[in-house]
Amino acid sequence: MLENFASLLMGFQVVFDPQNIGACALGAILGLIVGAMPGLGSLAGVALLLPLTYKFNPTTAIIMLGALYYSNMYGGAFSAILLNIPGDSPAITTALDGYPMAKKGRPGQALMAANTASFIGGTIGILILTCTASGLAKLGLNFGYAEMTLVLLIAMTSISWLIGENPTKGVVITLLGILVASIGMDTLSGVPRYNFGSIYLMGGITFTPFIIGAVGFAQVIKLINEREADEEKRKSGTYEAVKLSIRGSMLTLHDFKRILPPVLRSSILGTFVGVLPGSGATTGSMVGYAMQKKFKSEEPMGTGAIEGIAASEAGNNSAAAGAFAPLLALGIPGSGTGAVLLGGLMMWGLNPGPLLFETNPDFCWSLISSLYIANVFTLAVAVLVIPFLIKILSVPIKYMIPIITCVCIVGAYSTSYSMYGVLVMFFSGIVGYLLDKNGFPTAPMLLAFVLAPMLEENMRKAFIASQGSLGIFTDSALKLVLLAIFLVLVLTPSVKALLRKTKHTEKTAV
Amino acid sequence: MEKARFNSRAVIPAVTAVVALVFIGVGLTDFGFWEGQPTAAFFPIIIAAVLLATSLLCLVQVLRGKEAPPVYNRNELMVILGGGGVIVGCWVVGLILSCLLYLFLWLKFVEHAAWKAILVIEVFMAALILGVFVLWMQVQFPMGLFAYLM
Amino acid sequence: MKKLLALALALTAVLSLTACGGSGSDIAEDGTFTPTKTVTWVCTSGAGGGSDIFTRKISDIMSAEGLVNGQTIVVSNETDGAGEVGRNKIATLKMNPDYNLLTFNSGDLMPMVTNTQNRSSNFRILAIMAVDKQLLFSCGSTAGKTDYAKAGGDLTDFGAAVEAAKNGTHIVVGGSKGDDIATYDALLEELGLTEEQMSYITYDSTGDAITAALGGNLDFVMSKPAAASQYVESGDLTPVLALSTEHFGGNLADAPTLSEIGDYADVEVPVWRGVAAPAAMSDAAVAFWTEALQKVSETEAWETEYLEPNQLISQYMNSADATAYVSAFEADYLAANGLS
Repeated sequence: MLENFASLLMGFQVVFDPQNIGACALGAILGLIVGAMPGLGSLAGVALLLPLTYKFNPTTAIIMLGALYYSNMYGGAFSAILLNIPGDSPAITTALDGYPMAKKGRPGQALMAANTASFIGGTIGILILTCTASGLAKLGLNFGYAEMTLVLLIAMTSISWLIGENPTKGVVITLLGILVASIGMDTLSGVPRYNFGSIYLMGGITFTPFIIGAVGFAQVIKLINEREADEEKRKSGTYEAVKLSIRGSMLTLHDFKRILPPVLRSSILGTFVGVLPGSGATTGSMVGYAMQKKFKSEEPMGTGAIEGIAASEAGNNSAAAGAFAPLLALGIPGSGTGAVLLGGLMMWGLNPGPLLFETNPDFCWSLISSLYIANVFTLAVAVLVIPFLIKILSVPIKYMIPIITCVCIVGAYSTSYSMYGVLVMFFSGIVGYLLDKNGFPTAPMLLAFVLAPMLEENMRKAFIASQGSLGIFTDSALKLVLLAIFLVLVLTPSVKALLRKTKHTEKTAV
Repeated sequence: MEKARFNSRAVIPAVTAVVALVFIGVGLTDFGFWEGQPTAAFFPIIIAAVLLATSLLCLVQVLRGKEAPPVYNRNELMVILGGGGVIVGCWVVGLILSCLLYLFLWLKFVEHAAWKAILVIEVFMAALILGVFVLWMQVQFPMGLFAYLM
Repeated sequence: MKKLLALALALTAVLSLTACGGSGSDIAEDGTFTPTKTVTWVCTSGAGGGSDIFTRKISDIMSAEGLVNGQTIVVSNETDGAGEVGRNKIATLKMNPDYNLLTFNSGDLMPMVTNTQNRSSNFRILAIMAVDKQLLFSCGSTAGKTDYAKAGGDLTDFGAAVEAAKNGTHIVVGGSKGDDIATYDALLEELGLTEEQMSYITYDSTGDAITAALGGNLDFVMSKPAAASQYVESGDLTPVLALSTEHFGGNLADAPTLSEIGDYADVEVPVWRGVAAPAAMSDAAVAFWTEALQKVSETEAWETEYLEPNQLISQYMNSADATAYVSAFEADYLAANGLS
């Protein structure tokens, strides 16, 4: 471990070169922009920047891309908090509490909490990465299909906490999300299913346009009802301008005390989730958020609790750092973005794989140390832009409506360069709006949409390997522990409900 | 007329029940359920079966419940029509122009905004689309009918 | 109205940033084609994957070597409908057909002919640039979680595994989607095994499959040389079978072919990477592009920056040869899968 820190110092020496610092700063700024823009995720950002970096030496290039990838995770939270449009999928859970908190008149603190949580989460993730990169990656490998199935089942329980007052409606909507996600190419058998003869549906409902629509566009349709009230306030002079200063956005000591425990918990958990093959930052933020539901928060989660923002953002950023472990130690990309970075490594003439740490130590360690620098840079930039971001909130609603509509359309197009994405966005927007009108919560649908395909894939792979036997889920200590966690999570609420029912039988009778 | 008693809250569970039936039917005819190992339709069919049951339960709850039907107003429809208009416009004048045109029409005729505000917003959006999406990200937006003139 | 239209036109011209060099033909009097506009190159796989790298590398070399008259090539990753939408678009494109290219690999052709009515004859095939083959690997030493590994089977000996499969021990093979599945099918048929005896688990990418193999979840993993080479070097993977009619070179030379393992014929399903264009592309443009691609295949950069790092076999075929080759490949594939 000491050895690792010595190597890290060497890495820092490489990074502290004006050119590398410049690349790092540029990457951080670009990443924030890409992350905040709905429809453009880190994948698009890294992929499109890749050709530019061929002219650099590999170390400078990876520093820039690493910083871009990293700061993206900060940017996704901005549009989630301010506009209720998650910039990318890990930010879905951030929007759940971030947007209500901004509406409560504390947008600055919401952004600051997201930044702080991202920073601490990232730092912890990178620290763990520094100490145990290769060991961690090997641990991740031990998670086979059966273990991943159980981890995803645990993540799925987070949905039950979002369901709201009417459980039947929540279940209906969750299942609908799963079915919608099953449209398209079935990876395991390689055949299209439920495409109803359409070649567009063969690739499924594209995810990013789907969230932009179901959250963003649906939000705009609702927003119009607040237009008159907003106008009234502005005319009568009772309108309170939102505080624009950085100082006004500072977290109070009390806020900080509230976010610290969830941040620490989410960061450690998130790093490990990030290391698992194919899970990535989205699962990280969801697991973090789900866990926070188990702990106390001052305000109920989902109504603007600062703890919720913190848990989600810390989980997301630490998972992003954790995902570097399998990438560097074994040459295994944990996500789409990781795969692009891997492609970049090959283009620069490096051979990613288990030997990378041995053959190119300066490269690996400067990448890791650049993550520290990128983290600090991004925090600085992210804090400095808060006043400008908050200005968005002082734009009258009547102007916001057409602007957000346009952003939704442009963003949806850019995800797959096609009008199909725009149509998916439009119709899921209308569906999201109708669901909301009729008292159906939409968040469970989105989470189910992300997690269910991963769950199905792992479960079916487990069945293929075991030839249909259920024994594969119980044949090791690790699996039994995971199974126990899952059962506890599922059963506690029902047992609690049962206890409550026996106490107030007459009240709960329908 | 039944219209006075019609409650759109009942429509959604009814629709999801139909969706569930379709997924079960299509899944069974196309793939079957279990052939030594789970088929492509194994997981969706299970989910659809549960969805069917919960949808019916939900439908019963809604029909028995006394919740007032939700109110839809004209403004909400306007936003949807606006969005739909932009999309139709994409095939005619291209996506970028369609967006800018929609911004103008909306601000001028729906919101009756001042010229200055319209100009600022138009310039801002044009800069955003062209700067970030077109120049930097190299997204090629559809040109609509203009593509034929190129 | 006219004014408005003119204004709109002017605006679009500025907005689109695709300065077009006026009207008029791009085909000179002597029948040769020279590009005068931006070229769009559709890649139906996501950014960063094998097809994307292939596409961007060629377009980079074309620009660097000045093969496209100084015009820009824009790579467009159109992944809708698992790529079928993009392929269908190119096949039926009538507008500017001379300026649209498509990356077209065997891994694209197989799902296309299986799942849609689109056929290779709906395109102009411009060239084939390179060919790839697969091997089976195992990670012999790891504590396996599979039935075969638990039964104490020898993972480094594919022949023994085949015998075990015939005697009822379940063998699990993993690999990527598309062309790897076709190779698995061919292998299964040659060995006379059923899918129950030797199952195949499909992964989104070869990288994912190798991950699963390293974790002991697979008995064997199918991969092309490029993706597995590093793991062989580090000793994490052992090549156990060359899916080829001859041995590979370098650190893969030890892997026997199927005919050396038992009384079987060698199994080889070549994986090719090519370039296609709309059916409506003019003959002059086809001639131009096939020649430009040949020049790319002869460059130093192509050899050292693409073929070598990816351990591919250079095999340039011009439009006529490539068309014949792809048609034959498609016919074989259709026949083997009972399609028409």
